[in-house]
Amino acid sequence: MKTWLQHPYLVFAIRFVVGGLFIYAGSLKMLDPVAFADSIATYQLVPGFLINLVAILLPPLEIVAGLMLIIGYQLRLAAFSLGVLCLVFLVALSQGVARGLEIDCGCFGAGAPSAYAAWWAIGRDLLFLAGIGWIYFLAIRPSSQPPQTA
Amino acid sequence: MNSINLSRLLRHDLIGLGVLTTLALAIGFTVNLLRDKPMPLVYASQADRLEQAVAKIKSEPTAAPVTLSQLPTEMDLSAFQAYVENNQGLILDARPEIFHRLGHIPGAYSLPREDFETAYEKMKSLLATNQQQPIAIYCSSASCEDSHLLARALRSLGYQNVTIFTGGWAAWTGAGLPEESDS
Repeated sequence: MKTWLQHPYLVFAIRFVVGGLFIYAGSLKMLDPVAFADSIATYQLVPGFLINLVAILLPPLEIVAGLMLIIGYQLRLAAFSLGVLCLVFLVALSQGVARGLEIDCGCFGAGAPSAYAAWWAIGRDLLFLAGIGWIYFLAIRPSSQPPQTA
Repeated sequence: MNSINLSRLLRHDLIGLGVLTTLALAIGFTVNLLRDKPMPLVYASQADRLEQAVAKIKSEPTAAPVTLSQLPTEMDLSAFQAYVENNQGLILDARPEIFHRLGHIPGAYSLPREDFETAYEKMKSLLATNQQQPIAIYCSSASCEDSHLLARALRSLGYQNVTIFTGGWAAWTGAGLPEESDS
């Protein structure tokens, strides 16, 4: 039996909002990779020699996966990839908060480092993860086709 | 009823993620190479980058007699307000240039820490004429590092009369003092 949570319009709205936000976030980071690298450094998690590599890799990954989520191409893979990204961000943010670091989230470009911003980013990440998790679940559930289009 | 083979799914998705990551890395490297100033592969902190820029500038010939400092190394709001109102010397805004354009302390010039090398070249005619002139630097707030990093860079280039307005833009606007913008 279909629930309102499976309504094609709602599913597409989730894909559009989450995918769009990842495309937006990736584009901002791509515009200023040096500032993004500085944000990554505030997490004190990635070794110095890997920081710029991560700053080069993450923005296009967010943009490509976000686009795939919106247009419905390889939907399961798109949801899985964005889910993994969200989990990585959650772990990075949580360890920063737990260690009392003043983190510049860097999620949507560079900002001022603060513990409050990190909490806000964790909440936002959890929301994204719930949306992406739902899309992934719909894509893998048995005896049904993944919602490829709206 | 179909059952979900989770381990098989996970394996497929991980392989897919690997392919996607490789594609993203290729796009990222290509975009980076096409930039005017490609980001180096190894990260250098803000302070290190500023030091590298200073070292580059230092290698160019400059006549810089070192003089004794006349200004205190730091200024609070009231002292800085008097400095601005009495036109006692240069004011430099160490924040990114976009923030300077949006609003700055009256008479302040933009010398962003993040783009020091290029910005210093533009400001050189104004700065290098008199290395003894008083220079006050500010950034966004009391917790930002840019003004401190910039002061250190300028001192190492021979400017000895450098002070920091510690409260920065936040203290200035918080006190309702006049602002200027380039828009």
